[in-house]
Amino acid sequence: MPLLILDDLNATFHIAAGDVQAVRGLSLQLEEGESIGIVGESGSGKSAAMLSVMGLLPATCEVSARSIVFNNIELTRIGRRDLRKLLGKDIGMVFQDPMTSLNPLYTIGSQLTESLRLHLRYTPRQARERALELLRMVEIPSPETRLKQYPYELSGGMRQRVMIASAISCNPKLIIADEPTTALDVTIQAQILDLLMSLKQKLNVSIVLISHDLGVITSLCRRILVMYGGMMVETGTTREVFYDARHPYTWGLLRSRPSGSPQTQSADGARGRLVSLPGAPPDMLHPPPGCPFAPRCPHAMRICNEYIPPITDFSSTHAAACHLVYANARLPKKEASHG
Amino acid sequence: MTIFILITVTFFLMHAVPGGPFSPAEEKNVPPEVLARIASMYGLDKPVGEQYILYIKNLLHGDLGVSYKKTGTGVNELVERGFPVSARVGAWAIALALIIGVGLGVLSAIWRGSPVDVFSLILATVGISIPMFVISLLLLRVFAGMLKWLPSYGLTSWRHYILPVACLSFNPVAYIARQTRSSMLEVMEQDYIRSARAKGLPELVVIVKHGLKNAVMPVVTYLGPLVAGLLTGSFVVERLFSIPGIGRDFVTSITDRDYTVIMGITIFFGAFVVISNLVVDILYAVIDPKVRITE
Repeated sequence: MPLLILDDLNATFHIAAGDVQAVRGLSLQLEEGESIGIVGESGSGKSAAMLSVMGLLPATCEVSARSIVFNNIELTRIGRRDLRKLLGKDIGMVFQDPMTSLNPLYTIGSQLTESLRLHLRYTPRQARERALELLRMVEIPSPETRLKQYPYELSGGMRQRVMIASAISCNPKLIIADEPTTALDVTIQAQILDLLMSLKQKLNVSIVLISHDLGVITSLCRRILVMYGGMMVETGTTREVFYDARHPYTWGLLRSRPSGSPQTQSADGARGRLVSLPGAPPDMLHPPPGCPFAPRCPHAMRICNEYIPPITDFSSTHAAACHLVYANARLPKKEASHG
Repeated sequence: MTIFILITVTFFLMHAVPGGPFSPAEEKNVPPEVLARIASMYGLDKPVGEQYILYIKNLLHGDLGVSYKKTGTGVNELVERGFPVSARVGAWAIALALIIGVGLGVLSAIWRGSPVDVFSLILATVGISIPMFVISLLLLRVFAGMLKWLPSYGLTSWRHYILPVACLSFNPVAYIARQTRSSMLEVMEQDYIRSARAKGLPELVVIVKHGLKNAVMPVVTYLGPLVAGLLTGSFVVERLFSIPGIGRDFVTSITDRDYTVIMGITIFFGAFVVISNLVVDILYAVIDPKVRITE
């Protein structure tokens, strides 16, 4: 039985200008101890999808799903009170900006012990002991001093470590990390990823890693789910997505990564220049009737603008939603491949 | 220092106003020689500069002087008698303003657009735009005049407190409710609120512990002058309800040109403003750890 199952998840923001369909029909399965990376550009619905699972989206957002199952509990049928029992206990969350994710008015210790005292009914002393242990686990030096300090006294990297410590405090089964390294500088990013990696192995916890950076995801996840315009466009193991990508958007994503050495030539022939996808992400107030990527897709056909492409399976793990690879259509020729 | 400047400015301004406590124009039946003798007794015949130095000298000994009009009453005595009365009414008004203001503000922020929010918006608009004396007269007319539920003057039982306290807290309630609402709305959008929710904390804990404590800063700022203003008595309300506080004494002293009383109460009020602002600064440090470091 998978740890997390999303089936046909939809999230719609009702705003004054109309309805923004942030997530459209997303389905996903995650086994215990497995980790998956959700990649996509800003506004592709990757954060909204995970926040809607946790019920953390604002009230203006309407979430519906055929089914959301976590740890054999059907989340669509339980109330907020029961959902809260899972949050912070079985599901830990790490957010994007460590500078603003901690309450400036409370000490690290007080914020770190909050879920311990709430979910595990720890006494203040037990909670303090556990908090010290947690700070050591996330490799924060001199944890005794840190407990008494306030967030402003810690650097961004340290704060993110505190957020991670808080997320793992009650031994969760699942950690949702929403762009955990985006707000940090590159060396710190690597450290935080290493930390998540080692914690994952130590605690056998599942991780959903949300990022717009494929590099970040590959370092931590075996599986990747690519989102565009609120929909899943491709999913597969890291290997399948990197070496056998089937969706033109995934090709674009792979091409737009900075290459290791400035000498290598990128696909458009310009030396050391980043390749970017032309065009802008779709307006989710008025999403195109067909494939959301069609307006920017160099291989778009007439059908792409009219019908949402069905999902085609290539292996038990690999699937893509594109008319080009639809079972009855012919596979794209080699020259259309990624660089 | 602030207080010293206040003293100096008030002293000379007061003497610059035409007329005096014993001016011949007002005391028609008193022979001029008697007036002159009274003036010299209080040192009023001396040049203003000399009077000033004399006053400061006495003040440094804690002596605020003797009232010219209420014969035989020291200003110290006047303040000692009036202040507790004013402070009692004021303290109730502050408590009421804080509880209702913050409560209403929080509720209208979390139930934005609900009937509570609309009600608090109306109350705030009314409270901020209508001056206190109009509200006071209105409440007096309705509750004491027409319905005869509550007494209209004096301060002898708890029922006497209701109307003046309500009048005094009306404007602050409106102001605090609006202030709390807007800063609460801002705070509840913050990332750390989402973090708190992600921990599975009950909504009440999220709102009060993580939200309100961050949102209460602007209210604390406003509290300094408010506390000083209300505890030291309100001129209008004390006069309207015949409350024997120092606000009423102050109003009478100005029409009487009772120099020492004017000075005494001004100094007292000034000192109070300074002290309560100091208390607010200390409160800041208690609430916000960042302030502690910069002190």
